[in-house]
Amino acid sequence: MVEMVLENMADQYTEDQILIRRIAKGSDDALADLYARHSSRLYSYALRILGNQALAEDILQDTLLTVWEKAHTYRGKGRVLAWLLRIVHNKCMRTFRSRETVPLEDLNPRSAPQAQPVEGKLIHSERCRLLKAGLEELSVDHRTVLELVFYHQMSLKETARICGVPEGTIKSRLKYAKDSLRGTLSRQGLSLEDL
Amino acid sequence: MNEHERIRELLPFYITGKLSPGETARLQEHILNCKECQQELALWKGLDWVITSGSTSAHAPAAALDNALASIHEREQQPSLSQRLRQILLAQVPLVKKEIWTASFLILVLGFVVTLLSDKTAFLYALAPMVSAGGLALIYGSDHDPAHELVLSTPASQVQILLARTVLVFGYNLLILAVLSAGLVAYYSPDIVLPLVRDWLAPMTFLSTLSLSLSILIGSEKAISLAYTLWLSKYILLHPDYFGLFRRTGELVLRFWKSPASLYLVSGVLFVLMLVSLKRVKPPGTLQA
Repeated sequence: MVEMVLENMADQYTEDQILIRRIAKGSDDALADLYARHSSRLYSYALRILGNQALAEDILQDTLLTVWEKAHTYRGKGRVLAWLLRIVHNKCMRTFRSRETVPLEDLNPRSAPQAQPVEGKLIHSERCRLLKAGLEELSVDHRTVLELVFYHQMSLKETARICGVPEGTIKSRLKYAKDSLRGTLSRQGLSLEDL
Repeated sequence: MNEHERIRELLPFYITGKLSPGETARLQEHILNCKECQQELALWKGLDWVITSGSTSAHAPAAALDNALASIHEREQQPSLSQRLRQILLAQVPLVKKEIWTASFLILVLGFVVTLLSDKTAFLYALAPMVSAGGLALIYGSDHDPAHELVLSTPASQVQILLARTVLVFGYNLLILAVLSAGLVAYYSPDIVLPLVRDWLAPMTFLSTLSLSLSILIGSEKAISLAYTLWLSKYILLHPDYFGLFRRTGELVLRFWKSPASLYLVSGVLFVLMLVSLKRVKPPGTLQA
């Protein structure tokens, strides 16, 4: 009987949504499970926006507290990951804008220990190096959109919801980012299409 | 916007597989015959490759979860707002002068008896504000609280303490008067008692606030004297022998005391000003540094 009920629940809700419902009822284990499933992506996102490990860790911890407090308000619209990313995004933006400058040491693969194996492959590509430099030169608003779309594979609707802007703005930011990066390469006589 | 422009906007989401089957089919059909979109797609693919290949996932520190859970449990162990308010109120009961409770009770009961014996309900109306004002003038300051210097050393709690004591003493007087008024209903018609309650409640609130505020500025004894003088001056001004002399002033004073809205408004403003200035004013009797 219990198994049948659980099966029905699984039909109706994703595993993440069940975790959120359990968190809303005060389950520590559910929060730990959610953390195990998504913490790396959330932490990576915060780290890549803020470029600072200590700040990213604070954001992650703060996000968990928000999830604990607001889990009962989650209405099951959209993926849980998008909801979590929106919380992280809002906290990152507040932190980013409250600081005049944010060190970008963690955005630069050369100083990020976990990025070293990949850096080894990329170091031969002048275009990639320039492109990475171009990415770092983009504003945080444009960088986050590229991150959400390509790295976190969010849909247009999800990206707009996470950033709290209309879908048209996301399209504009993508176009601006693309044009800006294309300009970075063309100034060096290179083309993005050749990658 | 034409079809070509719409397709161009969808290209990033085509690469990440986030388009609907219908959109995907539409895009694929268009792109077969559109050289520009093919180049644009190659461009986005290159960008996608750079972003995803250069974006190794960072491992989240386990300490974040432990710290968050510790913080959550710590918050849960803290008392709720109602529990905290109850704690503050109960903690202040033994610190309020014991004589206030006894004296207020005895004077008001005596006033009730005299009201019944003299058959003059106005007596209780005259007494209620004075009893409350006297009690509130004695709740704050080094003369009345052995731990007052300690209270002053914790500025954030001064307001809480004063509020708690005000609620206790004012509420206590209010409770006694409510019970006595209910007792009056047994002897008089509710049509007489209810306007009476309305008549003493607003002056009692104003005179209590005034007395409390003055006690912080100039000390309890002077505050009580001033508050009582103000209250009793109303009766002097209204006395037939003096009303002719101070006709204009008497009418203004009477109008003020008869206007609950004015009394509550002035009380509110006075109370807020008192709380705001509490940190700046050193009550009389406080030890000098």
